[in-house]
Amino acid sequence: MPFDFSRFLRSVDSRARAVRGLSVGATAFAALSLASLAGMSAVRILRIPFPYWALAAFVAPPLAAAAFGYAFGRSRELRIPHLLLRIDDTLGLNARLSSLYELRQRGGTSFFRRRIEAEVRDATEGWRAALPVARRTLVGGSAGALFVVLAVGLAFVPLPAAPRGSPLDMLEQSSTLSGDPLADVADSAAAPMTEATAPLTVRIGEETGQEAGVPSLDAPDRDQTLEDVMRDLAGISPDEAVIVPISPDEVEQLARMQSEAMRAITQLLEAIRDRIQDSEADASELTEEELEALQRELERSSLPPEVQEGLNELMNRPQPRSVEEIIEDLIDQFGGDEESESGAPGDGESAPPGSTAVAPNPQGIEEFLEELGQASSDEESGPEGGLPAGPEGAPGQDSEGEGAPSSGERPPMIGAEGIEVPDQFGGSEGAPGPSDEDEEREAGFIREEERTKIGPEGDFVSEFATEGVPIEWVPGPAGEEPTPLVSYERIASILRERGVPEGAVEIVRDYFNAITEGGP
Amino acid sequence: MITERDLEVAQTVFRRLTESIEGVIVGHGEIIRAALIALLCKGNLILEGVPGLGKTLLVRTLAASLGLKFSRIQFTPDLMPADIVGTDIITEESGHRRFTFSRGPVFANVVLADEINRATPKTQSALLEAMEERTVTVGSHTYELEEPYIVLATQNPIEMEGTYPLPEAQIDRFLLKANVGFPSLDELVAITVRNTEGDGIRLPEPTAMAEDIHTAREVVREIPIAEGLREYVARLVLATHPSSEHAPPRIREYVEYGASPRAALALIMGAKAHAFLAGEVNVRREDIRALFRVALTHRLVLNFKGEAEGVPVDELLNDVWEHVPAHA
Repeated sequence: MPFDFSRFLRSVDSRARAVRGLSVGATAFAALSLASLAGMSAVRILRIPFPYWALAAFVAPPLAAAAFGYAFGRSRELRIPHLLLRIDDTLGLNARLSSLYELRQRGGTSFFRRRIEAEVRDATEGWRAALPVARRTLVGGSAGALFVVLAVGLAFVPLPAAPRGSPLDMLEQSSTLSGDPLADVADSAAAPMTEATAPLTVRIGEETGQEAGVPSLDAPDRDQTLEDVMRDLAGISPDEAVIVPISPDEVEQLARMQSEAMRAITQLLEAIRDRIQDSEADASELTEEELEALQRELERSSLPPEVQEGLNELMNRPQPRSVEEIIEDLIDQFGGDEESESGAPGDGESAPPGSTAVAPNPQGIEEFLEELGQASSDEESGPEGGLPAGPEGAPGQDSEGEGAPSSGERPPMIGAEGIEVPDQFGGSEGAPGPSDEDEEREAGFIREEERTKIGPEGDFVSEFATEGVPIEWVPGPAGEEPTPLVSYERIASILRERGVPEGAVEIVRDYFNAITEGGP
Repeated sequence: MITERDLEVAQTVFRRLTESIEGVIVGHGEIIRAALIALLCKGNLILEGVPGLGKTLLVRTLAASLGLKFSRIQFTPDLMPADIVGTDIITEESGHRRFTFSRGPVFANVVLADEINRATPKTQSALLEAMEERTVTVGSHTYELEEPYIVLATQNPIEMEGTYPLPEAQIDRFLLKANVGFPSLDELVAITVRNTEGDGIRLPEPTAMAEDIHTAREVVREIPIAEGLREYVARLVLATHPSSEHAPPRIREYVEYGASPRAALALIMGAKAHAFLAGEVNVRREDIRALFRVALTHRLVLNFKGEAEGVPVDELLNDVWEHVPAHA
């Protein structure tokens, strides 16, 4: 049986192409797998959120590259003479196969060809050993597969805390902000919606800090240094914060409901007051219908605690105050709230521009952002920044009561009626102290004590209030100091707009709680 | 058209020819093979060795075995070109005088240029045309040399005083260069026996005719060589150039000029002839190996450093052989 050299050449060509395809494919596979692993590592390290179906983006390219590399390797032209010479050397054929190929290329049927064919006929067994799959191919393929598995596995491995950077590093990172809070907020709002950048709000009444492993507010660590705090902050990721996003529409709806509830309560109280004034002396008690209406309003609405307390007092007919007196007080209180909402608390002239409506705003989140911008512009004119300007000429006073006229440049933190602000609000009468009740997060305003420092000149040095946070000053009972109120929702919203993780807020709060406890 | 019968006959003839020469020359198997290869490849051979090693005897034996016309030229410093190629002389015939070309010793089939480096370059160059073109031009007339034609030159490497080393252009025209080494003990004893007993050295009877050599030459040219081996030869030759990327470090350090393309031709043709003499029908890698040194050793020009340090060219060629991969 004559030696079928053409068939032999086809076999050699096929195997050589397959081997080279595997080599190219394995190389491409390994390279892209490594790139995928690097990409996945970067995604995980940078904590870039991605859905699990996006894993395909890390797996498919290496596989596609392997397939493309294999096809490319197979498609490239082969140098058969070299392959044959390699087979010759492997099988010890003394270049007969490659010489036979040379004769075949010359054409004709010389006796040389017949002689060589006769000599190689039985000597080509095991020629495939001359074209083995290279070890590099095996290593490349194995490495590629390993890289892909690692990349996929990395997607499911929970990451440890983010690498802790020094405070200087954090400062450098923060320096990337434009310095204009409004612009930064706008930029973040314009950014693609991700878990890290989407505007987030905290669902009212939801705990965050404890679940995120943030140190408890009830047990501040007094020994911790600022460096410790910065390190803790660096270890917090947005993922760790228990946050539930709600839409701006929901916020607006909530605000609208609160406003309507306040308005309805006010109208009801005014109607009751008018009936009492118009009726006989013994008709000063509430009727059953009025009690039911008040009860319905209490059950229906989420009202501030002080309002609820007042309404309960009214419904329970406390002694010795009369119903009319209570109603008057409540209407006055509601009136003050409404004025605050309208941006003109108190006498209106002394209302700080930045301390306007904290309460529900019909314009929703857009108006809030405008307020934030207003606050930012105010900050630029005030050296201490971050707090709304107070009324002109409002006197400041330190803890010793030394008067220090507040210039328009100082952050006033002064009540709408020019009442001096105590250095430690927690001790103010009528203003709830930092008890657990204050931690309750309800719909509407939460009365929170704001710890501050008093500067050497009696000026107000802000410790807590974030730039642009609107502070509302609510007059206390007659003769008492006003109580500053801030909206927890708004503070949280602002912090979240700036990308500050919820846990970080709690840590900062905890830190300042610790270092300011007992007053400056 | 070469037939298988031609191949078998030619290989048989040269096998007998080899045996015939080996019957006279003791040892020097590689030298004999190199001479036959040069003959098969239409090349020329230069033999280098000290006097008394049998170089001249080898050439005379070869010529005798082939039944070809042999001439010997002893090169001396006063040798003139005309002494080699011949000259026009005035002859008188029937009362008429005319110039008649008197052929020099170069007009033979086997020319022994003994101690070729003792003649002046002018005289040495008189052989150039004969060696390369197989023609001799005297005056305005060009004479064809008779085939088969081969120049076998010898030179003495130790008596360098008063010698004229062959210029590169001329030495490159020698297909191969073989170093005639000193015989071994057994070989030397055998030499003494052959030369001191009986009738002494007797040149062999012709075992091959010119026609056999022509046929063998055609057969050799038909012997296939794989493309991969051709490229291998090319890489080997390129590696002798210090500027080549294939050159080993010592080549870069000690070599001024590498082998010329003629070296590649010599290597491939010599490998074919070697395979033919070995009874093969295709060139093998070992054929190239056998011819590598004899085909390239005289084609490398050492630089000053190489000359000063006396770097053996054979060692440099060993480096090249080891450095160049067998497969691309």
